[in-house]
Amino acid sequence: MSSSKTKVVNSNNSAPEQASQIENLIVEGWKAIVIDAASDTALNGVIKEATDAGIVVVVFDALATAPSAYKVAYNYVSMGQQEADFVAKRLNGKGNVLEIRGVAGTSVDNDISNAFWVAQQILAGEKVPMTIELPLPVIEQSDFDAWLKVLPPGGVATPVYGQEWTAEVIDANAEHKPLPKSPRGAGVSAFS
Amino acid sequence: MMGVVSEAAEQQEVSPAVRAPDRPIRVAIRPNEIQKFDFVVRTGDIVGLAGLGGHGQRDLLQRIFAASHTVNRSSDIRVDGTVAYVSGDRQLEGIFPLSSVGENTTIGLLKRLTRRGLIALRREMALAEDWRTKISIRTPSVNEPILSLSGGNQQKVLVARAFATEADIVLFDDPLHGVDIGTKRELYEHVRRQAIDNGRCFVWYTIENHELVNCDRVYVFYRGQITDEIERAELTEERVIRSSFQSSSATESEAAQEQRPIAAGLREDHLRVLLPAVALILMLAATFLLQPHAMSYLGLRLVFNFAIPLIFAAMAQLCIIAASDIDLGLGSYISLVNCITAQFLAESPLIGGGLLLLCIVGYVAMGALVHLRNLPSIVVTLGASFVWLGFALLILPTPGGTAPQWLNSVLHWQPPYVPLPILLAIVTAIVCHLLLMRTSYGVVLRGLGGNIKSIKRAGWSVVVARMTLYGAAGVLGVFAGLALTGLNTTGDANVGGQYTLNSIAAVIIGGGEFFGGVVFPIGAVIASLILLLAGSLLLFLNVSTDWQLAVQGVILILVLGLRRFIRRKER
Amino acid sequence: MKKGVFRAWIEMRPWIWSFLGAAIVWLLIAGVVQGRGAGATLSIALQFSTFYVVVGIGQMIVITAGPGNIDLSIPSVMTLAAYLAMGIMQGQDPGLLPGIAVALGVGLGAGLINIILTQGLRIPPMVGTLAAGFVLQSIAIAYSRGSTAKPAPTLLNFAGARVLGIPIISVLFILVAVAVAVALRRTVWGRSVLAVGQNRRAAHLAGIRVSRTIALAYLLSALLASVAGLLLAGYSGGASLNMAEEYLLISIAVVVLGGTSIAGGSAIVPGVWGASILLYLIVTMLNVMRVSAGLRLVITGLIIIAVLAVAKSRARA
Repeated sequence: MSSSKTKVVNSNNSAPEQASQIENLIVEGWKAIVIDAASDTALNGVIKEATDAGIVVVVFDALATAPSAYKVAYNYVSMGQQEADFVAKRLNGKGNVLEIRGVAGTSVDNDISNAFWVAQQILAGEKVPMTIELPLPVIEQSDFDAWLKVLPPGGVATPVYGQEWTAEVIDANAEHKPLPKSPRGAGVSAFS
Repeated sequence: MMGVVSEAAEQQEVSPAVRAPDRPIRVAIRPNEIQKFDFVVRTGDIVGLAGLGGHGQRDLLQRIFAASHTVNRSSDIRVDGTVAYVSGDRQLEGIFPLSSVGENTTIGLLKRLTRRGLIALRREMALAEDWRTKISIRTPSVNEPILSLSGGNQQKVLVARAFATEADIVLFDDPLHGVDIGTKRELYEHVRRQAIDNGRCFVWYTIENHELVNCDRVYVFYRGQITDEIERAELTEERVIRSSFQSSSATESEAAQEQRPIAAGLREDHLRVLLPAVALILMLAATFLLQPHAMSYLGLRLVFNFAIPLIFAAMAQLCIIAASDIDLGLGSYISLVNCITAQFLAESPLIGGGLLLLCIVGYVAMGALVHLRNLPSIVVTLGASFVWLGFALLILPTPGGTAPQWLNSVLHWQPPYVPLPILLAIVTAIVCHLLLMRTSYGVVLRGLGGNIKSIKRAGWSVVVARMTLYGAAGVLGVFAGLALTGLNTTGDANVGGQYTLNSIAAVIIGGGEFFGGVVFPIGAVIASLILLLAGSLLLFLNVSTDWQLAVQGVILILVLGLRRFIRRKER
Repeated sequence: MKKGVFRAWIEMRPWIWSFLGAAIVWLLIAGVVQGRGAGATLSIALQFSTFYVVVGIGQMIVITAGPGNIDLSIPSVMTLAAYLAMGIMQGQDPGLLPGIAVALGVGLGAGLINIILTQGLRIPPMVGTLAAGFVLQSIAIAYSRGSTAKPAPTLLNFAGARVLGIPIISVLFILVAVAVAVALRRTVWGRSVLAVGQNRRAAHLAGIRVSRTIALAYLLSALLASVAGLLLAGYSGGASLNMAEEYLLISIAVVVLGGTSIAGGSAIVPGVWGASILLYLIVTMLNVMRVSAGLRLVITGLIIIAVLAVAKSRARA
């Protein structure tokens, strides 16, 4: 399963560019296409073309609303809610909060491997629900302390979750069971 | 009139030293197709170039000017000394309209006025003042703007500029054309003084035969050749006129030569579109080799689907560029159309249609504004780009909406034999070509870019013409937005941005030029296909998409560089 | 009689409008926030306007060199210079000087490319600099993979440092603006640029080396763009691929709104400052008024068009 051919293309956040690329990938005859969407909606047209052609489409991180695509993502609403609650609690309910909206999500590498693996599962014939919600990563102070000892200044810590855990997540989604907790202190890969 | 010649000859002071036969040579041209003898100008000579206007005199002057700037020893023309050029077409070749009289005077010798890298302003003023009095330029001060002077006085400034440089050789390109007789007489005197006192030599092209009395020697031109050399003593008007019409064996080849430019002109037009066409064919061949699947009906449709909005965008930009303007807001406009379509056209077609109509009116208004207030289109469309994008965001703050079903169906229609994008490309190319290049109004519209005077003379309203072109651009922009919405099935305020620069690239690669109303609809359509295909090729070649932009840049450079190379070869 | 003199005085100084506009907008802001933070607003406006001014001066010189001349590679030069400089600096001070050298090197290289394309190959500048920009942006994209470098601490501090509320880089580039104005008026090259911009053919016939003059304009523009990229990344704490997105349009807007003619031949240096502050304050004012993103864009666009339409426009040649 892990020796399949892969190809990565980047559209630098341009939706028409990405749409063109997807059309070209359809021509090339790929079995599955995994997309970090440059637009919520602008890709729906080409995604439909792809699924019509029998290609498995999995969207992750920045999602597209196309109904025929599989979606792998965090529950961003819940994530935002939890973050807001945290801040409110710290401020004891007083004070002004400035919301700076920016680019969502930096743990793309992690999501990519999740999404690839989901695509492979689908191609192998496994039953996978259309929407897969990932459990939110939980980080404790002790994790921080451990990482700070290892990371250089400006370094980025990204937890890596294995395929067995992803399988558990898929099963939990399929059977509407509570999501497994994200593994703590899992192997950290640090870049600078 | 020619009786005057002998009188003037008697009045001439001839300083023996200046007329010494072996005084230094300033200009020497070996015999060639223009003259069968050595053309020589020595210090202190005033040499006249006569004959009917436009028979090669100006070419000679420009050859001498060019030769003074190059270090080419081997060519058949040798210029020894500094050269100054005084043009008779002061608007085109002479004055700097935004500068003062003084600045116009001193522009030729600024280096000499610098001290420690900076121009000494007081010395500059003094010099300009000096020449103002010497040549009697009528103006209250040298700080007055040059345009406040009469034509004759402006011409005097140009002569002053040449004299101020103290150049050894002064080239007169019919500089006193249209100047009043009093000014002329003053200037003749100045020329004589400069030649006698300072040894300056003059090569003087004039179409007024009576001016030739000032010259020591006159060469008469006919059809690019010197047909006669007349010393002042033998100068008569009859002889000049006779030599102005003298036929020579070379005239047959001249006639043949005249045909060539027309033929070359036609070829250049075709070549401009041929270049992208050949490129497209080569790229298709490469695609076929790399990815045979692409060369099927489905493959071609997938590869070129997104060429549809680009083709319409390119046509829109073409209309604007045809007017020698540019549209930097087209991408945002297309985004706006996309948002209106997705948000309104399905559920409330009347509102949607009304809004789209309003957009087109907006474009027409922009055209009127640009014309009536004489504003640079580059900044107006830039401001408009903010406006379009702003409205797009107001309509769809976050992506959403749905395209109407009929639009989806149209864009996903599969005509027999020819995939939709190719079909649309062919139809659009032909229709736009016929409308813009083959109808008389189309010619008028393109004239906006290059030849406004002739449009006015023919009685067409220039404002209406510009508004028509902008309106057409607005309509084509709507088509582009509709097509994009049909392909994407939804709306997003950020989808249109790239079409601004891509549409410009398509028009230029397709043979168009920014100024002059030179546009080729067929070429632009081909170029749109090239841009899409380039992206596909990169993907098929597994080249990292990081380099996508670089490839676009290289295509632009190659096409334009090649075009320049071909043009140079044809000269 | 007095009115005529006043009008003549204003006409001589087309940059007045941009400063007037900036003052009006600032007063409006002060009104909305009821005086609190109005001074700080001005300070921040100066800080950010400086980045606009740096590229604006470069674009102004290029535009002044004559109709058709424009530098569309500015954002890409900024981005690439920023990325390479940050990559060398790696957040450490020893990397400061090499980083600056690299950024300037990018400017130099980009300038040379633009010169070769526009003066050597005679490609129209709008296309030539656009193509060069594409290539440079691609290089930046390729380089940016796996790069999260930070500026050297000295650069970070310098880019944001203030004296009596006035950013140091603002003072620096006021001086640069003055130097450019003096150069245009009193150096042979400066006069040549103005001459070439007014009448290219006449300049050639007057003995000016037209290509060389224009070439230097493109070189300066690219160098200034690289400095802008360096300072912007220094101030922001790093480079990003879309850091210079808005600078393409802004570099043109501040030049034209400041009074410089798009047809070339007349450069209004103070106007670049006035227009930069004006544009930045407009965005601030709209933010302070809690205007939505869409409305903000519409109003900004309409103001640009209005200022252009109202201010005196030069006759088209």
